[in-house]
Amino acid sequence: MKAPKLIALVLLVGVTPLAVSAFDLGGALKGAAEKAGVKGSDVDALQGAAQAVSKSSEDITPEQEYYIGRAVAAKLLSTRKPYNDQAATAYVNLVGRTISEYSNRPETFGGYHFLILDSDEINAFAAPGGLILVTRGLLRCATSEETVAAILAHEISHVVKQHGLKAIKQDRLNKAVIGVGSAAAQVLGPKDLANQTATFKDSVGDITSTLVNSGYSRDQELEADQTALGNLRAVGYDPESLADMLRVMQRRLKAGGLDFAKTHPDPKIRIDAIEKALKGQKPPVTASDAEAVRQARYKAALGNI
Amino acid sequence: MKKVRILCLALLVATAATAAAAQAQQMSVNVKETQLRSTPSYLGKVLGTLAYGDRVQVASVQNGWANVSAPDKGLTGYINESALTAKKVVLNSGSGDAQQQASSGEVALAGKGFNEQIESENRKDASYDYADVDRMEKIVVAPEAVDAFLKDGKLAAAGGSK
Repeated sequence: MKAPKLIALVLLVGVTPLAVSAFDLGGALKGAAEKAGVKGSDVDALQGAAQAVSKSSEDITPEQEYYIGRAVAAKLLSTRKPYNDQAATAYVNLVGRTISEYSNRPETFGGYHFLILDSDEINAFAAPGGLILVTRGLLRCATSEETVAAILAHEISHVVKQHGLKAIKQDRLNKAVIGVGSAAAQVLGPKDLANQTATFKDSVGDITSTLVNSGYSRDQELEADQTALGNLRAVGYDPESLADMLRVMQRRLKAGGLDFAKTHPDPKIRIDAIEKALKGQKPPVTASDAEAVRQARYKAALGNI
Repeated sequence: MKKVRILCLALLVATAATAAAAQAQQMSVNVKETQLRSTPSYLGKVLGTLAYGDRVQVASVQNGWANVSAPDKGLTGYINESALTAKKVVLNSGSGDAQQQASSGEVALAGKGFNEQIESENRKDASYDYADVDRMEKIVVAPEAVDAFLKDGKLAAAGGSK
């Protein structure tokens, strides 16, 4: 009798109004199934059937994104040292926080936080949820507040667009208990805990290996650039600063290098796309006294980076 | 018996669907905590703090700020739109909304899965350095600092998002 029962339930999932996602239904269904006295094993099968319809990175809740992001940052920081200069760190956080307020996602579960890595490599990593790491090497490519803002706006855009979560492989999402809709015990038993922790590590590994080895897709990088342009403009910076930044990097990156050069498309492709997007747009007018203020605070914080 | 049971299930699923549709105007807080402010700006006076999963009624949204009321807390004001979701956030059974959810037959645990329990398990693995992450998260930038930064550098109209 188990099979017909399941078929009936799966059919119900199919005809329920679209306003309710299959994702919510998983929980409703399971609660309903339990009330109706369906046995545990059947319940799990049902849960599987309902979830198989809908699992995607979008089902990851903000809280789960937060814990994934923390683990990604923790993994990256296990082999990389922070640069402990208070003024530099405070400045990068101030610029970053300002940009994030003018992004399409000013608030995340745990907020945006920025850390400088003590490394000559030219690189940056954005962990899901807003933990952003930039190297001294990358900050040395910047020549002004605007160019620092451009770097951070690009990284923030990866967080806004949730590119990190999209790097998680489908089979992890299928195995993970994500989203709303499980009716098992509130605290995981030893076996479930071990399984979920393994899936968690695998998911974190998918993201870190993307950040460190393979890089995001060209489309995602170009999307982050385009998003950053709007974000920079909203704050009042000249979006052209992103292209300026990339021109410096183009000169400094070594072909075949293990850093940014390996994980990002050729700066030229990105510069061309930026110039195309900015064509015909007037840059914001900056008064010379304001320019002097920005340059002075940039020099004070990052002049010796 | 089997038929009756399936019929029961159909009814229950239909009820769940109706309940979800009726909550269209309601939204949930989707960040650890967020401030409800007197004006649609990070410079607005903080009237209260809402936590993950708290429900609000959204009256309108403009320039990225939602005008909301949180009847449970007797508060009305503005919350940044990015701190809200139309999705239902159901917490581990605890206080307030979460308990209601649990009693309405939806035993849903958003806290389950990749959560604090998994992190504490993961902390046993030496290839993760959480100490620096914790330090990093403690860095907080005050809205007033952002405001001064914008004003001094003659950047965007201070205080507003977007």
